[in-house]
Amino acid sequence: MSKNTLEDQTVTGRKTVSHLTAKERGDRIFAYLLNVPSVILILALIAYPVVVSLWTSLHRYNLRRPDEFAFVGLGNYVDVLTSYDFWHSLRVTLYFGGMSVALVIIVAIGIAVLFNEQFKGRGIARTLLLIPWAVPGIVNGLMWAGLFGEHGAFNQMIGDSVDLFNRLTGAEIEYLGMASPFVALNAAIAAHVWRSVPFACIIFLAALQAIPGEQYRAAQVDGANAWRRFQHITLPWLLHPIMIVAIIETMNAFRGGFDIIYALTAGGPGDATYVIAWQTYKEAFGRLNFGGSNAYSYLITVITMGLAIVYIRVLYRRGTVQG
Amino acid sequence: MVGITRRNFLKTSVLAGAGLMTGCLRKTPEGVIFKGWPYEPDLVRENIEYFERQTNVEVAYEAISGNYHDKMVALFVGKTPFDCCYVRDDDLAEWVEAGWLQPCDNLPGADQYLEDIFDYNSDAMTYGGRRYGLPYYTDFTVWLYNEQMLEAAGFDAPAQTLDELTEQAIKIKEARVKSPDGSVIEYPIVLGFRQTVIGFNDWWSLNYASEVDLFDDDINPIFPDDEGRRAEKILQWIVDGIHKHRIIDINSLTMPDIRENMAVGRQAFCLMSKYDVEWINNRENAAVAEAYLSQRAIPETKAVYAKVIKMARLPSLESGQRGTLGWTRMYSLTAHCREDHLLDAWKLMQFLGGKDTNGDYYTARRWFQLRGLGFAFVSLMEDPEIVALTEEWGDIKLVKELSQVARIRENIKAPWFPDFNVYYQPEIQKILLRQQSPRAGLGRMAKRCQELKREWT
Repeated sequence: MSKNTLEDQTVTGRKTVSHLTAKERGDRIFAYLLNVPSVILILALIAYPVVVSLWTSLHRYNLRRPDEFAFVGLGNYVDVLTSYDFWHSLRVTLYFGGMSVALVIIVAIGIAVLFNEQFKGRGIARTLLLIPWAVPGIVNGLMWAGLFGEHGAFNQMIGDSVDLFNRLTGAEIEYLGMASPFVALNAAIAAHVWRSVPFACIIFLAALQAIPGEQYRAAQVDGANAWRRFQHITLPWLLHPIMIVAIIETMNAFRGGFDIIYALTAGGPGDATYVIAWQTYKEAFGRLNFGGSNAYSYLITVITMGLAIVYIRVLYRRGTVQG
Repeated sequence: MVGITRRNFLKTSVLAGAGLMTGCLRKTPEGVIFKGWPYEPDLVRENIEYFERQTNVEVAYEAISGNYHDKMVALFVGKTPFDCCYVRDDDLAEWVEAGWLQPCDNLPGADQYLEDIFDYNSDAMTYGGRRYGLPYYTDFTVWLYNEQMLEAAGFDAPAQTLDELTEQAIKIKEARVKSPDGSVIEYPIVLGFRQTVIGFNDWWSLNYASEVDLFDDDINPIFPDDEGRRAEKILQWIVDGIHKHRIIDINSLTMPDIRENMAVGRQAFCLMSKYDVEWINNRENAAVAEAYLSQRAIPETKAVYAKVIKMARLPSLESGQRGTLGWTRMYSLTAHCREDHLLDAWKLMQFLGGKDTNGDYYTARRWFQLRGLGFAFVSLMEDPEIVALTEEWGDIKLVKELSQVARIRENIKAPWFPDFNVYYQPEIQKILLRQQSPRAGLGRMAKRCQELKREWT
């Protein structure tokens, strides 16, 4: 039995190092040693690139002129913030992100509520739901490129609808397919939403299963209809999960979208689908401007962090539910 | 039973970790390390095996899948050891400026090829007065037309000028000419204006066909006020073709597979690399070729090529103008080519991009025989076998003529070419979508060129 008593322990329940036996001290060191490989890996794979990236963003550094590596302070940030490219890509990204986040949340809640009900084949349906999430981004982009391509099913469907509308109304709307900036950007959003919905669904499904059934039963006794039950029971319980999904999806929309744009639109037509991730890629690999592209990356980080703080402030307290 | 002690556990962990690390570390291959994009890697391997038998030099070849430019940049930045690689002329200035390539004009036997290489190829492989490569393949843009569709609309010769082309395309639409699968040709012309790493070859080609100079000798932009404002007129012709006459497919801005569309007969006209003419007239690849030969009951044993998609001079603003865009893909030595492998790497480059030990352009000839890839050597153009093969699917006379007038992009050697490449593609697409006028768009492009020039001088 250990000779240490409660008096030897700190208020937090831990013993101070001076009161440890040799064996306990050895155990503690051993525990730290076991963590060393993970810490080294984390430092090497995450911390080091993050610091190097920040350092690079403070320098003039174009790979075409590797010898002209010079400290410019916030010069790259000023260049980026005063450029048309940044503000244009930010506008495109805000539209892309706003639409994506809203659609992912709405569609995922709808599906989650449906899949939370008892029905035959629910297990299979839930499994199938995960397929889009498992599809690699680039494959997803290529698949949607096929759907919206010249002879793609969606493209034909929209084209036929526009033709029909023109015939019925005498309008002369010219349908340009993916050559239309509007269609191209929204096709990219559709592809992004399709892939993102399953993850959000899983989160919402988990949250829905935590809602106590008696609350619904009590509401039914009080005569609340389905919409009222959703509005006053389901939705408040979902506010925290919505916040989580909103944060993750906003980050995805800002960081991501790249693989879809790469395969689906290549940034075009014009610069209609130049989301900020694509602009960063063009800056890094199109122009080899690594100083500028790292500044872009940090600006994306700052913006997404800012949006995350807004989400937390707006949704966190509202989502506190008394169980 | 022996328990697991802390000491034993730590020892085992360290040993396992070290073993894992050793397993993960890739050993640098022995021979010449050679990297390229994944075009026909099996044929490349066959060529290399032949080289290895001839010279006893070992080669470690790797086909880089995916986006070649970006992956190579990562390899260069990461200082991955390799000795030689494929280089596109588009990337030459960038990679030389970055210090990733070394010149090869000082190596033994380098000058022997000079006199036998077409001017535009030689030019494309030179940067800052030094030569950085030997040609892998080279080609230029040709005008393609579907002869049957043209005849169905009542024409017996391809258009010489852009106005004549408009007339022909309108007639094809009016005649409701059909593709082999029975669908009516809605847009007879398709052009390549999808944003890519390579850029809009068709834009350069149409300008050069009309003998437009876009830049002066100091790489200052001449457009939009070039002689007769021809650059503007060409863009206006495309805009009208898309929106007014509706003869150019709007999917020209997004379509990645123009060759395949031509092959199934969805269009009557397009611009294309000359080597694709071999592919597109091959009945194994193209529905139009197969339909043509089947209608005439010609069995596969008798003919592989239909020659139904014909090549022609590029239509120009005025009759009699000649020109096209040419480009070069080359083999180059990397700057960190290992010293003890330099001469072997150079041997490999000469075998692939020059002559084999028998003094024959073995690899260039083989690429042409098997895949129709263009070559940079003037003497091969007179080779009876090559002449006969070209005639099976193309037109040797025209090939010779266009080889002489092909031009490289005038600003390809500016260190700011990559910046221009990123900038001009969206601008031209905006013109084609009528978001800005050709003059305004060209003006913006010219202004950007001046800014870049100042920035890089």
